[in-house]
Amino acid sequence: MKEDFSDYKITKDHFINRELSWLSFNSRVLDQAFDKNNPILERLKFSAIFSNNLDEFFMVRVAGLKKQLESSIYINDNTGMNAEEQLSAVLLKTKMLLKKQYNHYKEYILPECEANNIYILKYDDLSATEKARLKEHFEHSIMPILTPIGIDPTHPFPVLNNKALEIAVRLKRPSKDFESYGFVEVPSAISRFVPINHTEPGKAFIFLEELIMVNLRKLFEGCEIFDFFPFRITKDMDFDIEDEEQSDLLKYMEKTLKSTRKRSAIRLEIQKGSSALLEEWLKEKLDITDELIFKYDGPLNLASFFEFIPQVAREGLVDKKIEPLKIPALENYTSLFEAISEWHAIPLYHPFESFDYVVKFLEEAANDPNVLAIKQTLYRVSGNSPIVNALLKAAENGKQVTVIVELKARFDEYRNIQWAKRLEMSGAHVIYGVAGLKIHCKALLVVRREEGTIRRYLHLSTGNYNDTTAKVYTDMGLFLNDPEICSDISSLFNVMTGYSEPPIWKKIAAAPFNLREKFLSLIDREARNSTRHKPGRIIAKMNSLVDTELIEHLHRAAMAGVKIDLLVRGICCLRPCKESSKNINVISIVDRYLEHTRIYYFENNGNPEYFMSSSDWMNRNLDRRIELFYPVEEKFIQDFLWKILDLQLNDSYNGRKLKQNGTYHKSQFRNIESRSQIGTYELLKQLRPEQKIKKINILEKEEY
Amino acid sequence: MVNFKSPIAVIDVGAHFARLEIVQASSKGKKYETLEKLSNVAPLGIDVFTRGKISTQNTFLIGKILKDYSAVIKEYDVKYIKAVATSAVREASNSDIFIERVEKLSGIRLQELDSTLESRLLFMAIKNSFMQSPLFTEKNALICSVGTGATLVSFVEKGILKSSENTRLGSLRLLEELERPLANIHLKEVIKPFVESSAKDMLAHSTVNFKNGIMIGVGSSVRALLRLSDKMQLDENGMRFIDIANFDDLYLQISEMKTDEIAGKLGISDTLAQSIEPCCAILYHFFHASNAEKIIIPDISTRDAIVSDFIRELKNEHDPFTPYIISSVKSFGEKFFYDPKHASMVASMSMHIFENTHFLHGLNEKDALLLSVAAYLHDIGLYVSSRKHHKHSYYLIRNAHIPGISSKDIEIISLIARYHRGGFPKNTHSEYQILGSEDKVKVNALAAILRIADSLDFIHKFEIAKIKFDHRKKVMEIILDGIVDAVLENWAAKQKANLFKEVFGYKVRITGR
Repeated sequence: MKEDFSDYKITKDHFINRELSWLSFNSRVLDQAFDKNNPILERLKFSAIFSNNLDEFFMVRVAGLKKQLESSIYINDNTGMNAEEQLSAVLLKTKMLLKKQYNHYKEYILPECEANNIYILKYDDLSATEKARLKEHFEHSIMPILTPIGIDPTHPFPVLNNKALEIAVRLKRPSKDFESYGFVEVPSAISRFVPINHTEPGKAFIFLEELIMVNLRKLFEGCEIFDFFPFRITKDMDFDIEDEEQSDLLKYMEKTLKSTRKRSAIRLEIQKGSSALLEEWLKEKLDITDELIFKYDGPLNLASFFEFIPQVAREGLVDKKIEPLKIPALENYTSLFEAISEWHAIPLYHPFESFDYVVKFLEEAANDPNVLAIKQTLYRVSGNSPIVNALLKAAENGKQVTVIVELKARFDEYRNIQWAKRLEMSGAHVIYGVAGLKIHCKALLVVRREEGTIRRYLHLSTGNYNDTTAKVYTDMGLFLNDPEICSDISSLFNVMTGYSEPPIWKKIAAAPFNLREKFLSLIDREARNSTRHKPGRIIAKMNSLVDTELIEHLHRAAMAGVKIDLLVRGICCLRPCKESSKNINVISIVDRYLEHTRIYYFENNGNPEYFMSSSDWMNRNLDRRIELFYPVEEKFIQDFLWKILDLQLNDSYNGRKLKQNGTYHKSQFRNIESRSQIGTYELLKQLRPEQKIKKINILEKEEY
Repeated sequence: MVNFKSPIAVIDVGAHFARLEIVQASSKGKKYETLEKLSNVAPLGIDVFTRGKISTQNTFLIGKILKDYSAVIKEYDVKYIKAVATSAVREASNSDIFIERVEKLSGIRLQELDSTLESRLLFMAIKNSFMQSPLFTEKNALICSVGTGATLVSFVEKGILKSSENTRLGSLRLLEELERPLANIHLKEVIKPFVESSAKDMLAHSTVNFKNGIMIGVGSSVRALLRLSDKMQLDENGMRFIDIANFDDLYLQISEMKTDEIAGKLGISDTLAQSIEPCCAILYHFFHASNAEKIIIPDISTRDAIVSDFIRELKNEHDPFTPYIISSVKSFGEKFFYDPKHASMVASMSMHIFENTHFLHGLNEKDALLLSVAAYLHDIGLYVSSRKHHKHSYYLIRNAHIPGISSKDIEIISLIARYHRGGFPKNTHSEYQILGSEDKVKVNALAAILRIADSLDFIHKFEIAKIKFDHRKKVMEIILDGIVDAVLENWAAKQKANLFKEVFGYKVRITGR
């Protein structure tokens, strides 16, 4: 008789706090900055990513914790921590990480940049000629775009922009006998890194804010300036869309975006050694507590180094460019429709394989007189997106174009609204999301008439239709024409447009309808099937694992003997406990490209099932978003997925293993040969010619 | 020429839902492939059975849903659309206004589907679903389609449709008519005798015996109801069924469940859940009154049937239902002790004359069917009285529920029978006056033919050997097979041929061979 673990008691020891797990992830990002094997500018980039991530974390998560604290609603998390405990643990860990980051910046990054003739200088270090040139540059090009703001009893404290670099000034105006204050916002329209025509070889810069600060007198003419410093505030951007009527969603978002300017500050960043008097005044005005004031031994906003890197990048200092591979199955046809009809399913693995095919597919559809309709979900769209341009073209060509635009994509809202409006004007049918649900599935459906009959083509992906992120995120797309999946996706579009109630799905599962049940039933099935001699097996690759119910079922499945491998790049709230740890293996890979594919494998008693999805294992994915989960049935794609998963599970180079104590550990024997992202690229190079051969075989058989 | 490859769309607006299905002919042997299937909750039933008409709110709702549907239809470049409205709209007092307004809002015009046409579609769909099973042709079957406003009951004898009735026992109507002053607990007590007596009455008047037969349950509330039972079984031919003992258990189980419990358990709307208990009661009493041994729940829907029928219509294929119209017409005649020999003879001679006079009337196959039905039933008024029996025939037919014959057509048939003797059609006859001019012409032409056919079967002796025309003299000569001395008939024909002459301008001469 098999032991039943359905009653196995789940306690707080089975969980890791979500915020702390996220900080661990960000710490792994920072590790990449510390990794001497990475070229210097890549290391700087990871440091910038770390800071950028932290900004978002404060805007949403820390803001959320603080609100919870203020509302005095005490909800403990799964690990038993209340909001106060969480907040203090988060701040402690964050400050520790930041200290590491700034030390590293000073001790390693800057010296190494200098060794490569890249200098970030102080004003005082410059020669008289350099200073003179800068003075001229300031007066001509910078001063005209600055707006100094004075604050006194008649000029109230202004609304400061989120994440903007500001300079605070304490001064006394001529003919006034009291102190007053002023601000200058460091303009984001020009680069923060002001180049200096250096006499030495190489490139040198000074920070824009420093140049402004040495010229403060020109901005506050006639004033007596006591002290000044640069600072930066981060605001609470955690807002929920109430269940608004769909038609009002656009207006609502526009209104919300305007009102975000007025949101309260959640963090104040200043440099160490800044004037205490000025700090005290700012603190009072921003109504911010001491623990939310961060003081750095170095420049503020390291995230801005993103824009610095392209200015100084050269061979040897950045990663070698990986040329996206061509896909023979798609190259050998004049039409992508023809290729998909022939192959039924064609996988694309970005960024190792080009995202251009997706754009090409859409462009072909837009111009094909036989195409009747195009339906697509758009989430985070890149600036001047070729995807949007193709959709515009299609609408202009008289196709029925339906676009579901998700306006709530975090922090990209304004950009999304712009594209959505353009699409609407071109005659496309634009749906602004579904009330209460974020549309997170990525699907593109083309309806085409072929000799009088309707044929449908699909592109599904784990990643967004964004040609920019497709270059830096690993994502997997799939072209396919399976009639049942096409029919399911058609129905899903009808649900999203509000045209129909959800049907009974033929092959897919979709959140928030049945995806949770589907995942649970797949996990439970492994547990049921598992025997001592033939353990069940689950391999799940995702970005985050947070959902409590799924974690409980995973623990129980592990107790029942199921071997569970979790490739979770980011947050993982599952803690391998003493009893289940021998069966649960959690690996996180943070590498050059952001791991973003979601692949799910279930052993199913010897008939393995493979799935791809837009969804992570987070409650927000399963309950509050429209997500898509679909089987991969073609053997050659299954084999490919297996190899990818295998490569990742054996990545001793950038893979980190989660221990029972909640920390992640490097392998003791780091082997560059096992680096899975390189391995994947090599694998694709080898695999693709195989497909070419398979294709020829098909042709021969038919002729035979 | 119809392009069968291009997709077609079928919309049906029922009592609980509006649905759209877009299908296209399939290459892989299957009859058709579904491209789109949309479904929306639209509670028209509750409107109609509480207030008698469709509310403005729901009119707008349907308008919006159909507008969305038309957007999807456009995406597939659909050329052929069939949009029908069933029970709820049919019974609504404002159905004309509703259809008009929905068309204004959506561009789609709904067509009201008569209950007789719905019976026909259901029968065809059920028959198809029994393709693999001999049960339908070996046993007698009682078909119960439980709707919100009415239950369509069909009596089938070994695969032959005998008759069909539309009772005013609907799952929501029942609730509405009985519940108001009563607490829920008493509902069953009231439903029971009411439904029981209705079921018994109906079965008592049927000639079909269902002992050891089967009952077939259809409709969305029936399907939902049976999902509540874990005792459903599959027979060797893959048909789902429940036997009487398990159904009785289900009946008891349902009585103890609350509406929200049912809705939660099945994941269905509250109105659909509300209809479950009365639906169960209706099935229960018919089941017991019929003595059938099990209820079969075939996997069909009205929409499937409409789709198949629409495809057939577009392909201009022969209607496979026609034989069942005739079988139920005969069974209707039996109710009134008609003379089957005379009826068949008149029907056959009518057809003979109809076909030969095509150059005169130019009517089509469907009109021939109307004549045929009228020929079978023209004398049933004798059941009431031989005096003015054509008038009795008229109202008996007028109130008949004949599957496959729309209410408009039944009107024409009853008038053809009405004018098989006696005075000619006149605008002073109110029942005739309301017809459109095209239909008036039809009634005249077909009644003229029927009069002749009827006169020729005076003593059930002759068959038509040949029909000849002298176009110069404008004479139609009917040559009979048998005794030449046909004086009696000739005399009768003189009286009976007047209408023919008036309508077509041809005299009729009867000769023998």
